[in-house]
Amino acid sequence: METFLKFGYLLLPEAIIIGSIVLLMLLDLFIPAKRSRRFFGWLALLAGLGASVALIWVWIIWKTHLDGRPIQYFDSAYLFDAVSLILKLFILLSLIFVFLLSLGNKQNSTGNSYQAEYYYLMLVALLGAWVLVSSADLITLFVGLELLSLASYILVGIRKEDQNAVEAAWKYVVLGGVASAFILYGMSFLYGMTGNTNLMEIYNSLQLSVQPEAILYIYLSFFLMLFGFGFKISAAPFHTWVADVYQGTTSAMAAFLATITKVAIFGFIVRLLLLSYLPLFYRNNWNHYLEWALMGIAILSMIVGNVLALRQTEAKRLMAYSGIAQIGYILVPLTLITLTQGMLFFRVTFFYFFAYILMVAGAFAVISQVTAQAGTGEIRAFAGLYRRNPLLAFAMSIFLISLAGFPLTAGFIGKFFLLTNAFMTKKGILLGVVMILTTILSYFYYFRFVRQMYFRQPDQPERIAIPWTLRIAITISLVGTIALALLPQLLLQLLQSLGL
Amino acid sequence: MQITSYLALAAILFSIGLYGVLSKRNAVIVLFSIELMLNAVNINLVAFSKYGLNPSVTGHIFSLFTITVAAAEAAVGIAILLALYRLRGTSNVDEYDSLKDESDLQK
Repeated sequence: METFLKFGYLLLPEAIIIGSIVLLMLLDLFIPAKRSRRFFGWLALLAGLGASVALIWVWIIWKTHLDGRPIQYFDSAYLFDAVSLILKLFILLSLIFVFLLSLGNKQNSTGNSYQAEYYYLMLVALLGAWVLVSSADLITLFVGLELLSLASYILVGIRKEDQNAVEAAWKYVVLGGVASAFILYGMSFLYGMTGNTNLMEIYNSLQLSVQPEAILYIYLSFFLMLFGFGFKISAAPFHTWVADVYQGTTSAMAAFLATITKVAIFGFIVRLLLLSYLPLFYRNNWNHYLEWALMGIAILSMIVGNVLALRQTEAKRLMAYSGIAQIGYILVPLTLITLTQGMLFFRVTFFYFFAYILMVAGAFAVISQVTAQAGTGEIRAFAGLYRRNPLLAFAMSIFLISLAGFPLTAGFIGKFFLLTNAFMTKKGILLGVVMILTTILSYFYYFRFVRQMYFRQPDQPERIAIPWTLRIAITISLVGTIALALLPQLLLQLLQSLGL
Repeated sequence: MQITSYLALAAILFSIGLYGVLSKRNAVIVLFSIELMLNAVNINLVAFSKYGLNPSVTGHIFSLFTITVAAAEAAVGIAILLALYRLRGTSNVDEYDSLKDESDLQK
């Protein structure tokens, strides 16, 4: 039993989240039905803040007392290492942004009904995402994935009197279910050929000689899982659901899907590739198919996302397509991981992810308030924003030019790192060129926002008021976006100190 | 030799499920088809854990987890479908089309 939970205190953040979920559920049962449940949001935010304090405490303890070496739990089904720690921090940060967005604007969460469910399901999804990024076993990975997915299906459609929200939830649940089935089918072949569900054991058996008839099944499992991941992370050939779901649901939930889900699934892909499938990339006969499959997904995501975003007039749809393109950028170092020998891989990707979370959360915070006041999700809701609230317009411009990758913003530095990583190898040059060209393309649609904000007359002249929770969210992401551009070495040193 | 027939059965079930998701009009059948795909996985897992290259009990355990999660997924799917049916009055998935790319052009 001792080996199962040795150093169990490092799991304190998870324990806090589980405890809060149970407490909030019970509280919801015991409070009379007529009482307002607005304060659940504050309790959930408190739980999130408590978990972040615990996470930082655990980090310090781990660094000082255990020399930062990876710790394994439950027969190495669950890991505590630098990758999981950073991804957990990212996910928690995104969740705090989503909470601030939901608290700031009634239309953002659920109106007046289902407030309690909304907030504790968010915590359930957070737990799923955490399990997903720290697992090293197919079973725990699958359970974490489904915990995240099932909670987000419900959250997308939680405003069940809104036709669009429920339709979005339906599309999400059907396509998400198919994606889960594909991932699971791939997992079953991987298990069948290696006889093990532990990722490290799978790695070992793939490194030894595998029978020639078995190797085909292993490739089959890889492609099946790639298909499923493509869906879940909203990469290009599998992107059709993304825009519909973002448009149908609330801005807060769209921010949730754009940050937490993508970070968690990305962590999952990285774990699976690096912990299990890596030996396949060093086999001679088939490895270039694997590389080309990954590169194809990255290239298609960049092209399809940016091209389709050009003709969108709905703000959240546009953000959805831009998110597809961003996933394409983030996948670039991953596709080149064998060619660059994984050099700087984590530093580059995690830097971009951090910048991505800040700018996307900030942009959705502005979008949520502006579209809620205008009563329409179209981009023309932004007309004349400069006159209605200059500071808000300034903040939105910073987020947009950061997403577009202009200098003096975090997005620029992040993209610069991605490009240098790509240009380190010959094959990466193609990816780098596609990235530069599609980035130029993306200026058109990001600047459509800017044009609306500065050069159009407002429909309604009155000033846009911002609730203070939203103001906090926007300020944090604005400061972060600029600070990350001016002092990128702070984050890089932090990542370096973790050995990434 | 025995395992081939199990794998074939699972592959056929998975394909039928995928076909159903892609082509059926009735929303309930679509959910059933997803269940079919997940159950194909169960057959695979159990077959591998008995006749696989390295038989072990882990496959049984995995299939228990899969069954549980599939049930939860079906429950969530049916709940969302019920909410949608109440709003739209139809279970034909072709009519769930108010969110799409060209919506702005038709206005």
